[in-house]
Amino acid sequence: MIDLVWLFPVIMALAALINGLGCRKLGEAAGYISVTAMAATFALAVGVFLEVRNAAQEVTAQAMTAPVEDPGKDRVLHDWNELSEERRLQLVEQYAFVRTDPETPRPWDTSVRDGMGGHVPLWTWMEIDSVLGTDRSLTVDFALHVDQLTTVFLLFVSFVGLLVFIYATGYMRESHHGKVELDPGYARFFSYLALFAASMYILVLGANFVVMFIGWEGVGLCSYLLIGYYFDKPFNDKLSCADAGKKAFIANRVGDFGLLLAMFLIFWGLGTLDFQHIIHMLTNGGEVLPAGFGYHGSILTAVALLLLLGATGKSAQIPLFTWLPDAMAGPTPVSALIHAATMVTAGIYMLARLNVLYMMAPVALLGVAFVGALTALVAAYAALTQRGFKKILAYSTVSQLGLMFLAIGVGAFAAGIFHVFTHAFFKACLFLAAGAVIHALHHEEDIFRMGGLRKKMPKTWFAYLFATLAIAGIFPFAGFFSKDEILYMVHSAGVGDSVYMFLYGVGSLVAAFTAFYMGRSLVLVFHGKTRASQERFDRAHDGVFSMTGVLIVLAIASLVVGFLNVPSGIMQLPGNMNSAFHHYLEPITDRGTLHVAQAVWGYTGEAVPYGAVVVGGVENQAGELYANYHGPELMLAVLSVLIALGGIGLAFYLYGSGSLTAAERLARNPVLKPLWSVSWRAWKWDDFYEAVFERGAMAFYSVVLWIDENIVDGIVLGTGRVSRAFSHWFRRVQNGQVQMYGLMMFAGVCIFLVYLAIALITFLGQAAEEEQAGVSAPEAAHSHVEVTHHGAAELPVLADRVTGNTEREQDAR
Amino acid sequence: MPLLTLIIAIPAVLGLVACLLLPQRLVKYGALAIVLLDLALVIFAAGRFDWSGDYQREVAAFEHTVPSHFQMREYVPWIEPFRISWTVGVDHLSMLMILLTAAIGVFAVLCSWSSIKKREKEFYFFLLVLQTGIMGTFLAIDMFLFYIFWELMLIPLYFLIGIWGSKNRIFATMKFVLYTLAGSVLMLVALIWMYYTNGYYENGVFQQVKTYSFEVMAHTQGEAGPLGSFRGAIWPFLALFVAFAVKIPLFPLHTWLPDAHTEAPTAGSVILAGVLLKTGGYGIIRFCLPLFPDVAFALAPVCTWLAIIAIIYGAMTAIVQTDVKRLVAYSSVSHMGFVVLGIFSFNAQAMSGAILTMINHGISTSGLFLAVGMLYERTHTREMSNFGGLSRNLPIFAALTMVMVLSSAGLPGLNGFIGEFNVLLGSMSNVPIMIQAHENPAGFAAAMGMVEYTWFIAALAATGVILGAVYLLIMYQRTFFGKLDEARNGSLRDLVPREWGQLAVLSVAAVWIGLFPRPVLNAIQPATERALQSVAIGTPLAQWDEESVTTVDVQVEWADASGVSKKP
Repeated sequence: MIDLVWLFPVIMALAALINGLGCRKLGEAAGYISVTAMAATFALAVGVFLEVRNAAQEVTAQAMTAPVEDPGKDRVLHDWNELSEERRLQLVEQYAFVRTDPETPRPWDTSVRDGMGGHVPLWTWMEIDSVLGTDRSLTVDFALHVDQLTTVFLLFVSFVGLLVFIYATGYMRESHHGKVELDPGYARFFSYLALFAASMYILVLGANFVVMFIGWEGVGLCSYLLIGYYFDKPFNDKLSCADAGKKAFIANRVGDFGLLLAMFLIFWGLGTLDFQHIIHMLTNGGEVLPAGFGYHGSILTAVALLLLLGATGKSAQIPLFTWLPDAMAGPTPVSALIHAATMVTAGIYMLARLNVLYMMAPVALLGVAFVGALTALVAAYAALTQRGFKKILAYSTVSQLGLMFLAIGVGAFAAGIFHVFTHAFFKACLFLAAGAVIHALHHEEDIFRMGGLRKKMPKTWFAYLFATLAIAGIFPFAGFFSKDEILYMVHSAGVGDSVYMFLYGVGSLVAAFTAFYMGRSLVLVFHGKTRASQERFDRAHDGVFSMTGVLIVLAIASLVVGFLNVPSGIMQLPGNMNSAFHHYLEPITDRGTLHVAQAVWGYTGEAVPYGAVVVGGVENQAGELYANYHGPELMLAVLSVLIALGGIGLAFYLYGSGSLTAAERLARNPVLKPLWSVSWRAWKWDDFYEAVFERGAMAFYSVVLWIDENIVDGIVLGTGRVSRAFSHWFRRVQNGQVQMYGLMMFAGVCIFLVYLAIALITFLGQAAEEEQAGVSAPEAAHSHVEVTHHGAAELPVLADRVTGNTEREQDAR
Repeated sequence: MPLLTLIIAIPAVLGLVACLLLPQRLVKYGALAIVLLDLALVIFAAGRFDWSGDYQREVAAFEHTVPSHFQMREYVPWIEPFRISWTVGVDHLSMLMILLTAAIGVFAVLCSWSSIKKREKEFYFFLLVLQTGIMGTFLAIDMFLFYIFWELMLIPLYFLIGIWGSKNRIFATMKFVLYTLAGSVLMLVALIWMYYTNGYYENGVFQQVKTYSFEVMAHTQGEAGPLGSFRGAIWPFLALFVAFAVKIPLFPLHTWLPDAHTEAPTAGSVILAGVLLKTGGYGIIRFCLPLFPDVAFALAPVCTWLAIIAIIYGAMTAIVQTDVKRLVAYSSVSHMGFVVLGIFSFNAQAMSGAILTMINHGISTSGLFLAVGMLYERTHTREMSNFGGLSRNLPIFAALTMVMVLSSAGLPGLNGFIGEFNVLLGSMSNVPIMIQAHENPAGFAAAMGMVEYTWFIAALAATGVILGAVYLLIMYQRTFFGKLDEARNGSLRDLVPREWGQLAVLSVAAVWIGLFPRPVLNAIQPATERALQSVAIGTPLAQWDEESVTTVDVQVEWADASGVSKKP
């Protein structure tokens, strides 16, 4: 099955191609083509996942029974590296997951811990050999790589993708007086969506930076195209939809700038761009690291920070987050799939993929934590007062992504990925429910003009309620487990380093804000008396089955997926199911933790410690790494549920009546008004960027153009003008008077004679000197090359020098 | 069979015949047949070409016999007193370039199909003469012959812009011709200078080697003759470099380009951008590096900075253009900056990337000019404010132009990315600047931390990637997105098969090189090797590594450095 992973992008790209070429002729079939393709990839994803999971379990079992040097060791989490080389090769051969050319084995394939990596090279993409001693050979395979982390992404991308595709077949049509009309760009829409899925698959499957970069830019392109899907419509009073798309693409390009530079540094430092090879080298797989690439190394830190810039672009973090709220210009299914569930998590995927690199660059890791916490706070605060339904959800997405970055920043990579996973379900659910509401109210997006829709749209309400409870972090919904894990991890790091305690405080505040603004949107949209126009309200109803069915599936998922990763500190699950998600990912996501714990802390224990414990430096009394640290998990969980309930409760208290007077009174309060305005204008971040990067930069470019046209070109044209003016002046000499010509001729002859005299004197002087020295100069200067009997003169010195090549020359003949 | 001579001569000779014999309305068919024939011949030559990279044989050039790597070489003495000969030959670099030229030539004829209505005979004749000039430029080994073809390119383009151009054509064509003529006069001076000063010392006695043959000169330059020393070579180097830099065009010698492009007919723009600009980059790789390695190495930092300026400056000026054709023209300045950056970074990735970028730019910018031409043919305007919302009516046009835009913007998976990526990757290790940083720890380069990696260069150049997305998206958005607010744009017809066929072929090429660049990269590799090894002679490049940087040894074995002893 792993051999077939190339089918993921290929199937979706084919669907995109068919829809793109068929375009208007396809009609409704376009939707079905994309949905079928997506369903096929979902089935594949399940197959690949099962294969990887079974193999992981079997190899673990095999390794446990394998004879090892120290049989007393607890092997709950066995270490691949502890097996003998022979045994490792045997296992790899047995399971044949490492698709390496047997003639050129790659050492890092077998040394990868728990070797579930399926390396699927397809073709050699770029190959430029070194020529001189100063450069390196570049080889980039078009290769895919499957491991535990990949399968998680494949699973939820294909599942949420499938649901959103199905939803979109219902959403992308309008009913006018009972007549159902497809959107005019229906096929184009599904073509872009399929292309997006193909790119997303390449992104998570890419075995090296450059292949990942294809997907990385590909999803950015599709995002651009889909944000600008209504390319001739305005989005708000400032931007058109096309502007919003452009903004997203350019913000992403700024991030790509960092990603590219990081790639270059890695290539010139380590000589490879392959993820597994990089990880292998960083974990000292028998190779000496170049200067600056060790733990805390300067270049490694620079690489990590540059990659962080790339991640902030794609995952909408400070400083590049402003594009995401405007990305809501796209159709709602796009917002749900691309700008909430999948594409924006690419940055987190990359950071988790390179967890070894980040664990070895603690400064950059702290940077990740701060970027995440700050973004989470800024965005959650901005969401408090927004009126646009999708805008609230967009800021909420930015904020939740910030929490994921925070998790990565404390070394809790698996926790970050788990939040990615749960967030995909409940945020997609929120967006799709919002889409259903907006659809039902004929493109009304202002939540102040909604209300009371619970009775009109009960199924949508139900889904939205579940997802709200999930994102707010109410037990036992999915968000509770994932968000709580993050906060718990940040708290754990804080035990060792108080900086993280501060970040824990920020995280809790974000949780409170989240509960409030989500509660607020729930109340204002579905509860109380309606503020919509009576006509719209009357006609509002639940969507067609393809829409409501998807909503209900996602709502149920928002409830249950949390149980995949229940920490034993909160409740015991039967069948060793506690932290199953974490244990599944551990071989990949905790590799950096283990490496740093062993190499830096001198840790020799069996179990993998929490990344947060390593990052925060939590020590026991003997000054050793406190591997089995367990904080007050249950207490923290109860606290955060209370915070969430408080937030929702406040929202119901302020807005529950359905009238806005209480809230408006608060907003007008002289003390609160500045605070309100900061939130409402989203910290004026956008205005700042607009002033600097749009107006400012444009003015600067205009100055550059002025310089180009008037100075650089001015010199050129000036040369022409001066010479023309000179000619005009000089022309007067030719005035037709013979006397004038005679005078000129006489002057010329005089000048020539003077020159001759000087030359003669100089020459005679030189000749006299040389005669004294006894050298005959002219002969040496003019001696010609000897002529051989063939009549062709060879260059004697040169001929000698090339004789070394005669053999080759003869071959060539 | 004198294959290369045929390739050079066929367009002009048959073009003349066709124009004399064929009636006006059939001339374009004749022209198409001729460029297709030329393309077929070039492909045939490519088939016979030894792509392995170790072709080598002894050849004669007047009284000298030297080893040469040029294949299918034809040598006919011409003006014997001055040792000027008709010497043409092809190596990897020129093979790729003539393939590009022959292919773009077909597009140039096809895009004039319906847009040229006056004086068709003369138009196609000049177009074909232009192709002869370009082919000769890429194939000439005798440097005087090179100069003749170099000048020959100017004349037909002068008429093409001056007669079939748009409103301001006379000014533009005069500016273009005078500007590039100034450059080529410098080249002539340099060639004559080199003719008389070329030679070597044997036992302390100067042996003059008068020659215009590139092969002979390339084999004498390693000696400490007048051209082998920095002081003797700097002036001819600068003269040649300026001539090439004008063509590229490199900042600050670029200002002829926007005017010429804007006023030229579509075919002129396509050839100008697609092929003509490459003669500059080709000239640098072919002549400046092997003949003056010392100077090239010493001046590499300057050239690198000029390239950086060109990349950023060209992009910035492109962003604020309102004329769509001018925008694409300025984008050429930016893209060709990448070529110069790649050449003067002196490592394999950058050099291969530069050569590939020349090909990619030929594909994507030609495509953009074709698209602009199709737009102009329909609307008779190039002001972007007159467009908007066109993708509603012209979906095929919009989709194909999008591919060209993305290719130009360097989207991975398309051709532009492969070239730009490698140039940028290579620019991270710009050896001349790193040596500068080591030798002068108080200098700018060292202060910028360019001791291990020239990250600052790469960072500045990579901003060109951001800016590239800005101007291309602005252009695309103003043209195809937004409201369809000009009433007359509502009735535009979409592309006919001849038109979308051209863009589709270029799109397929873009995707193909983007996903499977290896055949092209493998073909480029020998050219890269030759260029780098030629510049390594006598410069620290050959042996430089981080440890030995303070004790750079300039003595290099001839056999290693001449580039002919490459191990397979």
